[in-house]
Amino acid sequence: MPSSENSSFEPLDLSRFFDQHPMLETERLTLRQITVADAEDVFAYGSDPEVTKYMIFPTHRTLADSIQWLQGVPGEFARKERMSFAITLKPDGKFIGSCGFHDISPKHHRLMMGYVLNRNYWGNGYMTEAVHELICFAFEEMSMHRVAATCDFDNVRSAAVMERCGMKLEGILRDFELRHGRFVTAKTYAILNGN
Amino acid sequence: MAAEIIPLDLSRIFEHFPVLETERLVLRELIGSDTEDLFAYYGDPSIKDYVSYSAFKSIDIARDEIGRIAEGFKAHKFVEFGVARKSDNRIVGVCTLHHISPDHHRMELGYGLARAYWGFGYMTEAVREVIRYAFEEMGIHRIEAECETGNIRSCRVAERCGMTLEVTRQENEINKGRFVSNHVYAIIRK
Repeated sequence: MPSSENSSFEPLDLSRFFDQHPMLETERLTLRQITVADAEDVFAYGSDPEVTKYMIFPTHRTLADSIQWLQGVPGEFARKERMSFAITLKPDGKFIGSCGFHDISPKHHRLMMGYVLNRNYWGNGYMTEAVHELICFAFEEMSMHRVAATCDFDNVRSAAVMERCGMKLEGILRDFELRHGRFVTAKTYAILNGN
Repeated sequence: MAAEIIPLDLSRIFEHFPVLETERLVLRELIGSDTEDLFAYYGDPSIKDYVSYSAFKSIDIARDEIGRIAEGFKAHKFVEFGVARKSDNRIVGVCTLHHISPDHHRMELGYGLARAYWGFGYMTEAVREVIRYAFEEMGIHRIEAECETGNIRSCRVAERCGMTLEVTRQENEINKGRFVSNHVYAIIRK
């Protein structure tokens, strides 16, 4: 993988990525800014217990839960805290999931990544394609050095996405999150620029 | 079936700054008269050997820090204890509860000891007490501590306090113009 990493260890200037929301493209997908107009599609996966059992957020009960999350997204972006993408299929733009960056640290040249896919689209390699693109964008455009992500210990599909994208398992965080009334253990993965 | 676990209510913890006591130490709120002692820790340029933030350049910054610590407590954000030696009431270091998550019953622990006090087991004594406090009085379930992989002394404190190495985050931080890796230790309430 080509490394366009800064030779400098100074904090990264990421302002241009937050002036205008980036749009990413892969062979089959477009990753664009997510908006409130996506609420029904977000609700489609957010209300599916098979999907949310591995997610940190509670299962959406009504469309209002999805709208509430989406309304918070522009503020997170303005504060440079998060960058949230809608994952859409080419060529018709069908919304199939979301992904993005959080815990973005210009000081340490690192960020974290998260992703979720509507169950109807599992098993087609879409998420691997999206995550691979996110990693490339973080390294090549944003000059990040490190991309990390966690998933539930028993979320085999999510772990497989990260492994297919070249991420390495760095360890296990025991009882890391309280979810639906019980503690769940997480796996944590990372990939470094140039590896 | 076991009752469902719900988020913690920690408001009681933040009503008054807690005071913890061990055989040789008192963990308490930092006050203005601790400024010089605090500067001995935060102002030591060799602090960069182990942490990615810079040493305080003047004692005024240490004074401001005491204010920042008080604000952090008032905002329920973090609890930074001054670790005072009982024999002379000198502040030997700090011990901080941060990233406190009532939702997930977990928190992170940070600690640092002024160089003059290394090698007496003070920090191990302080951290053991803080872990007891977090588990028994706060109801915390999981405590994490992160340190540079090269910071052997800090790693040993975590290990002596019963914490387990769970993760090594490769090249996770920039310190002194290079990438350094971090060990993540954790202990779970039994």
